Amino acid sequence: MYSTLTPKCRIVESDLKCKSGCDYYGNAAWQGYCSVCHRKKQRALQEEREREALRQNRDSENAGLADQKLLQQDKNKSKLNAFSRLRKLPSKGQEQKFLLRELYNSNASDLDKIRVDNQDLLKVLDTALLKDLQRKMDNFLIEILEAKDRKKIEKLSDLTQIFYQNCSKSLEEKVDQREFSLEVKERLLDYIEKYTMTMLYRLLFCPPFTNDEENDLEIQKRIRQLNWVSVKNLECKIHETSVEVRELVYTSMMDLLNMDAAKAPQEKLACIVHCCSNIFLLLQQSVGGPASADEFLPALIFIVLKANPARLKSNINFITRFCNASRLMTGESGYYFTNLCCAVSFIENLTAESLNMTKSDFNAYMSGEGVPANTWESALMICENLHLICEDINLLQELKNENEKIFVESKNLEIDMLDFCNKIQVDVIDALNKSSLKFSTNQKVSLQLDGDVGTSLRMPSPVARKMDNELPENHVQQDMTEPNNFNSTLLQEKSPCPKLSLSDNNFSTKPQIHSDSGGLKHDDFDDASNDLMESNSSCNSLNSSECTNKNLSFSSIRMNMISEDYHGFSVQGSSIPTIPCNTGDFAFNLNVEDNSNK
Amino acid sequence: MASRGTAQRPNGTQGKICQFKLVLLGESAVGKSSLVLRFVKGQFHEYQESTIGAAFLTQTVCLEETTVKFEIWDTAGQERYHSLAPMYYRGAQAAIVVYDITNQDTFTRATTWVKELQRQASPSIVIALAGNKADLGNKRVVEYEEAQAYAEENGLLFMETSAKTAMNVNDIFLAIAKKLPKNEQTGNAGTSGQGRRLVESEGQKPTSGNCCK
Repeated sequence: MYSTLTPKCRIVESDLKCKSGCDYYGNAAWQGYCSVCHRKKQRALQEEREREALRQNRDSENAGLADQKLLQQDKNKSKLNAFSRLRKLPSKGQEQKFLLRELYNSNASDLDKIRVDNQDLLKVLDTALLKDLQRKMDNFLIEILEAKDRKKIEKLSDLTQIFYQNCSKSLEEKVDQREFSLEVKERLLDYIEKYTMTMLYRLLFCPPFTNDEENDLEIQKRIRQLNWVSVKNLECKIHETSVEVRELVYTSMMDLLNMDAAKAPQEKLACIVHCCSNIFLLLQQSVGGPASADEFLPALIFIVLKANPARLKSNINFITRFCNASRLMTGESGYYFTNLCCAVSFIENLTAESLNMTKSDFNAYMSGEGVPANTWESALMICENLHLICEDINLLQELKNENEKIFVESKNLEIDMLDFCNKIQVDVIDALNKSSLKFSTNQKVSLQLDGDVGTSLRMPSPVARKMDNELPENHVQQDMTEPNNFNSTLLQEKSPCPKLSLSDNNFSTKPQIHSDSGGLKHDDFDDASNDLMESNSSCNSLNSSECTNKNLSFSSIRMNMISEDYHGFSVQGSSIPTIPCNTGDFAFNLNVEDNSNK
Repeated sequence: MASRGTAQRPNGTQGKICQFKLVLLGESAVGKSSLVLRFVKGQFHEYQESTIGAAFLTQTVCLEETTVKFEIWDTAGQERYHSLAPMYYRGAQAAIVVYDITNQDTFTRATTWVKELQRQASPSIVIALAGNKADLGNKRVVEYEEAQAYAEENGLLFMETSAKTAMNVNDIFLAIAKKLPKNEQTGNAGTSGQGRRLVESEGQKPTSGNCCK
């Protein structure tokens, strides 16, 4: 079902292909052509236009001259006037004006930023001078806009450089007249460059009528092929294993990558300068002294190889063409830029010899057949693993803390449980103290029972048994009034004992029964501790009159400390002749003491 | 052909400031950067924190009438970067070719540098030959007379220097400063036109290299 429906929404692949029919994909921005075909088309168009322009010039040279005169006049007017006059010019001028305005609008934020950056400079200056500068810049912009479709990029570059020189000359006059210092002049020149180039960036950076883009792709591919080149191959002294050095390597790579984002050639240069000064910093740490060009150039090449900056050639070309030439010729930025050009040139012309390796090795690495042992990669891998180890250690630490917490909690729980236990004991004692009721049984019987197990087994007292038989029945009757499970179990235990003793004179089975019932009580104890207390008290209250403590009950088995106050279940004690194993001694002593007391 | 022309011209008495680009050539480890560090910072192996790099440095030298500002461009000396050198010395007004007096090979390399400069660099370039590590006289391999004769033959300034003891370091820069043309007229006119062309060709170099590939 889906397979029949979805194709309707799909764009057929052929729709995405270049319109010219080459097998590449097209792009809406290139009128449906691929970049190569689009450029071809553009070039053909441009040639056509050039021919057209030439023909027009020849046809109406006079008219053209007049036109230029008009333009010239306009240039002498202020910016606003120039605009109003331009409107009267033929459609061509209008087109430029429209383009110029469009450029203003699209670059408004960048231009504002440049203005803000140079606010201190612009405030100081004479308004007439600034107006003059603005007029010059606008004229230059219009000139470039006019020329951009007809002239080669070199011509545009020439126009730009001539413009810079003119500005420089006119400003120099002002310096000579001591209107402002040399420094202000330089800054003004920078401002002019930034302003105009930011405006024209879209038109002049990697324009479709040059082969900049192809060069970009070529160098990008080349750098990708060279991704195996290591610090060792380049014999550069980057201390890869140091954390700080590695940080700086990444910082300088970032600086280089940022170059593509900057618009004005000056700003691009500044990115290069940043990158290079970071390289010097990392070399200083690696070499242990100020680095010379012997160390710097290989390091820069390494950084370029690892960073593989976007549109590298376009950026370099844009800077060489449209940056103020005097900036590129001299100064630190000029030196670094030259180094970058050298690095790129080295990468382009890299051979096996320039890396001091055999041709076969080099070819194997380039084709991806072999992969050299790369310290950089392995260092990165080690770092990665170290990082993982660190993470694991952290995790273990967390687990350990968690564990300790659990341990502490369990300790607390233990204390709580002990407290609870104590509390219960205290409560039980309280309860026992409060009530005067006691269980009691025949002293004789219990003495016999506890004193000598053997005898008791063989010779149960018929009198006691009789009493026992009577007593439980009383108890049952009274106990039944309480809805207590425990009591009912007591009853069940009590009742079979006499029966057994009566029906079968062999008492050897009796301990068995007792231990069973003891086990039952034990299991029920926790759950029914309250019940037990109640039953205790109830039992006690029942036997308050007899009040003898000769017998042990399960409660004395469970809690040894109640010995003094405890008086036992007389009924039960009488029915069960033996004492559970571990408390036997205790019970015996108790009984003996009681006996002696008696 | 000083760039950036003059300053405080109305004063007159102050004199001109001429800026020159000086390029350092020579095999690696002959002490190019040590020489410059000694000249610019007065340091040798006792580097201060502030000295981060020795590849690009500037220093001014005062002559009687003019102040010469040197912009010193160091180059990578390794053989593999030899082909890149033209990018550095393009537009340079002066060059110091350095060799190590304890190493014959470096002297041979120096002579090839000189030949290359005379053939490819700007014709008015001032070339100086510096035999560095003169403090290691007992290990000397390149005789003073041999180098002196070669320098005279080729019209070079020649001095044996020692970055370690500072011997002749300032002197060789001073000698270059004196020999450089400080004609104001050539200075101003030259820069604007020529400088631009130089940079353009510099920019074109990698492009052309790319095409050849």
